[in-house]
Amino acid sequence: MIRLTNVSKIYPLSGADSVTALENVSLSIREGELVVLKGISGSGKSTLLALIAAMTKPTSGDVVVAGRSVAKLPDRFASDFRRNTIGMIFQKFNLLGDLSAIDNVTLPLIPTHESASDIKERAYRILKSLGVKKRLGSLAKHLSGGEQQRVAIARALVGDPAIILADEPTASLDRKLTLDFVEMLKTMKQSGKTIVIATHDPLFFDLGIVDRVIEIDGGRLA
Amino acid sequence: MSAFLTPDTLVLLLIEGLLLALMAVLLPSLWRLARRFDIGRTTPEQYALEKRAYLAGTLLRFMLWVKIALFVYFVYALDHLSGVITGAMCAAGVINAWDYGPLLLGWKLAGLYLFGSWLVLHRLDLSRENLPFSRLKFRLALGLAAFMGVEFALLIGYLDALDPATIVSCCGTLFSTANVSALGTLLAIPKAWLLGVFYALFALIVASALLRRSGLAALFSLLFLPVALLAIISFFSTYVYELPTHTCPFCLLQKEYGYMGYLLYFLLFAGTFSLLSAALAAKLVQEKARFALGLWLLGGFVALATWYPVGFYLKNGVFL
Ligand SMILES: Nc1ncnc2c1ncn2[C@@H]1O[C@H](COP(=O)(O)OP(=O)(O)OP(=O)(O)O)[C@@H](O)[C@H]1O
Ligand SMILES: [Mg+2]
Repeated sequence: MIRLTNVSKIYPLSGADSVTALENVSLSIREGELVVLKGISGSGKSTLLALIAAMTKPTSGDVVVAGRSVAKLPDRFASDFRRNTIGMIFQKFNLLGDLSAIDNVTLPLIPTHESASDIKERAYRILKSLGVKKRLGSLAKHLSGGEQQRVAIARALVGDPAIILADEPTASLDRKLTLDFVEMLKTMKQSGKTIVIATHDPLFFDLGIVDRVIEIDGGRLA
Repeated sequence: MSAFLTPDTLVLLLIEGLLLALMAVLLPSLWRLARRFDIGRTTPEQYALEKRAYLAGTLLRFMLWVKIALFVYFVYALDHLSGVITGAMCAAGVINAWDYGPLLLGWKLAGLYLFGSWLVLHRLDLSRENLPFSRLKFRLALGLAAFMGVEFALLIGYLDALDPATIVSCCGTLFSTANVSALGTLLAIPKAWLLGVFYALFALIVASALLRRSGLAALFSLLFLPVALLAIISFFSTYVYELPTHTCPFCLLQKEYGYMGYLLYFLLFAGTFSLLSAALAAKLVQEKARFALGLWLLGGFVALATWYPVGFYLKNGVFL
């Protein structure tokens, strides 16, 4: 489902300086697998996720996702690829604070030209399945951390992507909400999604539903 | 340099010069892209080339659109200069003030088709995820750079040769059948023959486009272009001027005739180009050719050209 071959990512800085965020990384993740990317801050986890999501291009090497070489994907195709194939969950949730909860979830579907009522219906169903039944019309910025988390997950799932990428999804959640998130992960996994979670939360390292922990250190696989 | 400078020619020189300079700056990149671009590779060089290809492609697209627009300005400038050049009544005299003037005009006209074809190729290339035509596109761009270099040399040579004191011929002598030249011979072709071929070719274009025979549609469009130009000169233009002896493709561009020449030539050039490029695109990406636009434009051209003799007949009950 996801295959990286000799991938390096070097961020150029001013002048001749540069940061090597990933160095010669090769890995492969099967369909339906739940993989945890473990590594200290700055080790290159977010960069790896960004490459899989076609949000950035490698400096060398190939990234193949769902049969497409996303490393080569011209920008005009990349957003369609993301919308159809990838669901992203971020540490800070990245919701649009001035939109309501339901509007945050329907947003990614607007370019698909489905009817507004269909889109709304889908968003409502997903939010409900995640336990958000009230406050659908409240502005995202007025929601609690746990509610925001669920709205962010709903947004990632609404397009029914085959792959879920989560970048430190529990970093701003307390213990109870983190366990809630694990429950939601179980459901996602059961529905056959391929899931990659970047985290340094030890809770995930020996969790039953995790198929594999990939450790990354200074841009290299450990 | 004794180049003939008026506001019109200055503007032309300036923009053409700038475009050529930009092309010169792009040249090393185009050279590398033409030689090294290979979408199958995943080396740092290739990723760098992919970014460069995007920039170079975008710049070229912009430059070529400017070149195409500049053709209209070139024609306008020629027409405008006829007020300054002794003996010239229209652009015909101005362009013939230098032996290679007609070559310059033909070169620029060919440029329209070349630049347009490159833009079509560029669009097809970007429409596919794997950028299948990038290498070809940049190789052709090198050719376009050379083409633009020659064009600029011709333009300089032409402006250098222009001299308000020299008396040039007017269209009356240039496009007369008594003119001992290839053109004179062509203009002596009987009008009935010429018109027969003109309408027959148009019918063949429509038929082959509707039957989706891309190759034939392209071939007939290519043949139609010179036939149409000849028919304009020796037949249709006389009805615009309403004078049987006034055969000129350039006076059509003047105010007296409502600048109808611009519309007429636009329909002809855009129409034939659209058909040719649709056939080319169909060949390259194996999809159904989109002939509709070209057919409408060319149909518009034939209708506009035909309207003048028909209108004349309805008004006067006779043909010229
Ligand atoms: N856009 C960028 N420009 C320059 N350097 C960058 C950029 N993005 C990341 N880096 C650098 O690349 C390295 C890897 O960063 P990355 O964000 O992938 O690490 P991370 O493992 O996600 O860290 P964290 O756990 O803190 O989120 C870091 O040294 C970082 O400073
Ligand atoms: Mg990170």
